[in-house]
Amino acid sequence: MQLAGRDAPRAEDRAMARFWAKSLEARLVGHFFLLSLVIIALAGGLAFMQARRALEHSVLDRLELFASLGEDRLRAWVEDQRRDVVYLASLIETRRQARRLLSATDRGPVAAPVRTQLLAVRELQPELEEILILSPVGEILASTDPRHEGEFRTRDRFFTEGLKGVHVRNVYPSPLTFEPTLTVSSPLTGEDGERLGVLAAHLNLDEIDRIIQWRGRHALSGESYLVDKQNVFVSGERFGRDQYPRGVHTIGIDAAVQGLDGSGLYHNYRRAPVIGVYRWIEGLELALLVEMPQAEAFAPARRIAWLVLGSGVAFAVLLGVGTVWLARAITRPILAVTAAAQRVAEGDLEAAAPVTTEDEVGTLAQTFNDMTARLRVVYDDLRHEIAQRQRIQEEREVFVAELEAKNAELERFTYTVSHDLKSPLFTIRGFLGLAEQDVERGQLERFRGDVATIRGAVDTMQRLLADLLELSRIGRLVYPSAEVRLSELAREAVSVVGGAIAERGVAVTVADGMPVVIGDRLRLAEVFQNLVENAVKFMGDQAAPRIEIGGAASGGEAVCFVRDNGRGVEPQYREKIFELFERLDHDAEGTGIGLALVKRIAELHGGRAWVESEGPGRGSTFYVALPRAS
Amino acid sequence: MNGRRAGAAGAVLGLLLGVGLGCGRPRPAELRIGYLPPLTGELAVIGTSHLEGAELAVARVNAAGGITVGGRRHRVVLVSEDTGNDPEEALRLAQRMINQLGIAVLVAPMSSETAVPVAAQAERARMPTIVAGASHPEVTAGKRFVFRTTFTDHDQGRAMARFAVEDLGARRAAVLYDAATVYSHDLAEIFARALAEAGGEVVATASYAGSAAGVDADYRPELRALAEHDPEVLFLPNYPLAVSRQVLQAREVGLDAVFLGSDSWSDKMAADAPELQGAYFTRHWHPGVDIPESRAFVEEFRRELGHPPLTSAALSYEALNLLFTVLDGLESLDGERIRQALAEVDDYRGVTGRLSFRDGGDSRKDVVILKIEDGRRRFHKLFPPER
Repeated sequence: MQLAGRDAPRAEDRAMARFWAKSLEARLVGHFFLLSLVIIALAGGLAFMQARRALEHSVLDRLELFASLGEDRLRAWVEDQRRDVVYLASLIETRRQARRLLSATDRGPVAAPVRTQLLAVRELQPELEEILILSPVGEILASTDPRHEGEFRTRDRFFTEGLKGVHVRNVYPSPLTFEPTLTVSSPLTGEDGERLGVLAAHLNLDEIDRIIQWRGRHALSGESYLVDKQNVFVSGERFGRDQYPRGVHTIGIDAAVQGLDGSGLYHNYRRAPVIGVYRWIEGLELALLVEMPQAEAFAPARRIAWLVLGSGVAFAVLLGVGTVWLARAITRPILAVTAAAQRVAEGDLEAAAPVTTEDEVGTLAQTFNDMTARLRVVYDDLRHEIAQRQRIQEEREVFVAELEAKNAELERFTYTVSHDLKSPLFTIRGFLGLAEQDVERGQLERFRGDVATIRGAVDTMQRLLADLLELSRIGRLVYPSAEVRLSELAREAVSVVGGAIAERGVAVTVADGMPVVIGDRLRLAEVFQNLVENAVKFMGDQAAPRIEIGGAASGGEAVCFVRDNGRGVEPQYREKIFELFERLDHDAEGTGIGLALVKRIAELHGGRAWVESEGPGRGSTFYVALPRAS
Repeated sequence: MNGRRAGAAGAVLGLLLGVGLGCGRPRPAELRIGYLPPLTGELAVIGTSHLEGAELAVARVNAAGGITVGGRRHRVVLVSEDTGNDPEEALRLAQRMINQLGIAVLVAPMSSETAVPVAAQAERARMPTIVAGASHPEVTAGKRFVFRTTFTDHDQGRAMARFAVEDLGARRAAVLYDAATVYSHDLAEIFARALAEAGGEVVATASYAGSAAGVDADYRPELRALAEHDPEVLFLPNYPLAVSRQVLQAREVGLDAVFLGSDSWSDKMAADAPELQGAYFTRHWHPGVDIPESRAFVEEFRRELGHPPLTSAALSYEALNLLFTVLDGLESLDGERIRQALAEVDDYRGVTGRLSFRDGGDSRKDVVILKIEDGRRRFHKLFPPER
């Protein structure tokens, strides 16, 4: 972990960590699984320890029992051997032979039959390794091993003690064989108490070892053996003493050799872990060890531990599956709420969390839903209000624009009216003065002329006022919404101004199939009348005057035109001619209100009016675009 | 476990380890030398003197900083146990030292009776051993791990035989020996053979069965039998207690031969006994041996212990110093390695002369012949090794 932490974390690790951090289910299941594994390991360990402790006790009890039996057997065996030697020493025949050996000058012939007899005894008592008859000064007179005959064992304790009485020289290293030896010796005395020497027997310790050997009826492979006070295996044959030139050492052996009894878990002389009982057998100078391999002794404990672990893991897996299911059951509503919340966050106020349970999560979902519902209401109200305000705002803007336009028009109108009305007034005032002079001078003719001029000026004023009235009426018109067929309307308009057309000799064509619009029929008729009048009026000196009326749908509009081949309009006047009382040609008849009317009516219908011309003398085309009937 | 927790666990572990290590102060290394002198019994005087020499050598080497083995200083510890000159006990103690007391080498300053089983045990256990004093050939025969710093019975038997013939002009010799003691028995035989080779003759031999005879032993029957052959010299390769009685009883039965003794004639025997005057016997060393090492030893011994050294002190002193010289600078205390180093000893100059194990476990040694004269043991002659 530390290493990984020091390195730059790899991408998949990060992804894993993110998954872990984000997935409630993974965490729930993971933690549960970890927890159960820990518990299983603990349970397994505890079971093992418990079983092991119980086993340790029972195995140790068995080993102790075995050691006690072994010790008793050993003591009994040594005692048996002692009795045998004592018995042999007490035999008259033995003593007779000892005397004969002692008194003989040449021992050879005497020793041979004695040796034969000793060998016969050993045949019966294989536990006796070597039987010797020693002289009172320690010379070996006869032995089952003829090589030793003639040797002096004067200093050997079995001899010195054997002279005094029956003696068991407990396990000691023999200066002869260097191996652990146990020697029983008994004095040989004549009938009269005379000292004949010592009868001694070295016991066969391979035999002694056999006595305590493990003889389990069960299949358990225990081991028991003896070690002398110097850490030497008593049975060299069995263990190969040369393998341990400096003695054999284990915790058990070392403790027993120091005179301690006990038991424990330790490694035996083969370095194998054993459970063992060790005893120092006082008097025999032997350590008895009974050991059993730990692997074998604790096998049942291990089996239990494995069983606990195995079944534990199986249960954990089952529980894990259950946990996955449970975690899903717990997390599914939470995830649903989460998803709903995410949708709400993205702006979908309609999102609702499913209420599947009645627990806290259910309450959460319900609360969430209540919350979004309230939010929705508030939001709707808000949106409604905003729309309303916006509409009011728009209406106000339209109103203000209208007001401004009207205001501007009014200003312009006021100016125009005052200006246009001023001119006939000046005419009238001027000619009134002239008329006064003419009257004073009595020039009647001139006076009539003056009056005629004044009348003309008055007529002009009257016409002006009439037109103003008309215009003001237009400004107040209310739309009666009706479908208007433009081709039809155009023909009507042409017939109304038929007089002027005929007078000038203009050829008028009206196209069929012009679009249908919705509007005020009367006003729209005025549009065409004015445009045709205007075309006729400004036909100039055209030899073959012609007017063409047509129209077509273009997008949402119906665009119609009145085209002539008259004088045309110079580019700088193309806007101006639509203004009130603007007359490009002051000689031409009219008040200059016609095109202003056209524009105004078009605009009142939500449309436009404009003129296109290729230049003076090349005719002009007036366009009117109106919203089409849907 | 996350990184922090691991770190904390490591710190705790480190602390525990640190505390644990802090508690365990390294003990100074020890070089344990097994030492088996006879401090009680018949050879107590000899054994005690041996121990004096050994302790002096050990004190000296430790004062000088000990011994370096494997690049490490080692303090020398002398693990000493009393054999009581009992072969059984000596063998048991040797086993105990080898198997239980953790010795690296064994020094056996003892009689042949005890040295034979001890040497055999050492050989079996592959324990490098230096024997000082025991002269029986069997001690080293056929052994790789046993080395002897003193002469053998072959050397002293032959030296005494030649001395009898060549220096004393004696042709007729008698021998009284202890049949129960291998040393005595075998040395008697060697002497007889060597005497024959030198031109003399053992005209009479008698034996008795050792210590079973006790302090009030009567050797007169045997001595009378020997006296009948009218020997010019009487060879007594026996233990001091017996010899003291034998010389007395010999004179009693009218045996007037010159007494010849062996290296077992210890300082326990009163040199002022009138019957002993004029007797000759062999020795491994004598303060009168005029070599620098010997003089230095005597001087040091006197200075440190306040009395002159006995021969056995010199033998143990020499044996241990030889061992220190061999061990110092060795790479390990492995038995085979030590054995090898001992086998390479060549011309080592010790208190008793030169030592060399190039040709086996026995070094050729001079035999010192002393004469008891005017109640004193006097240096009489040095017999260089033959061959």
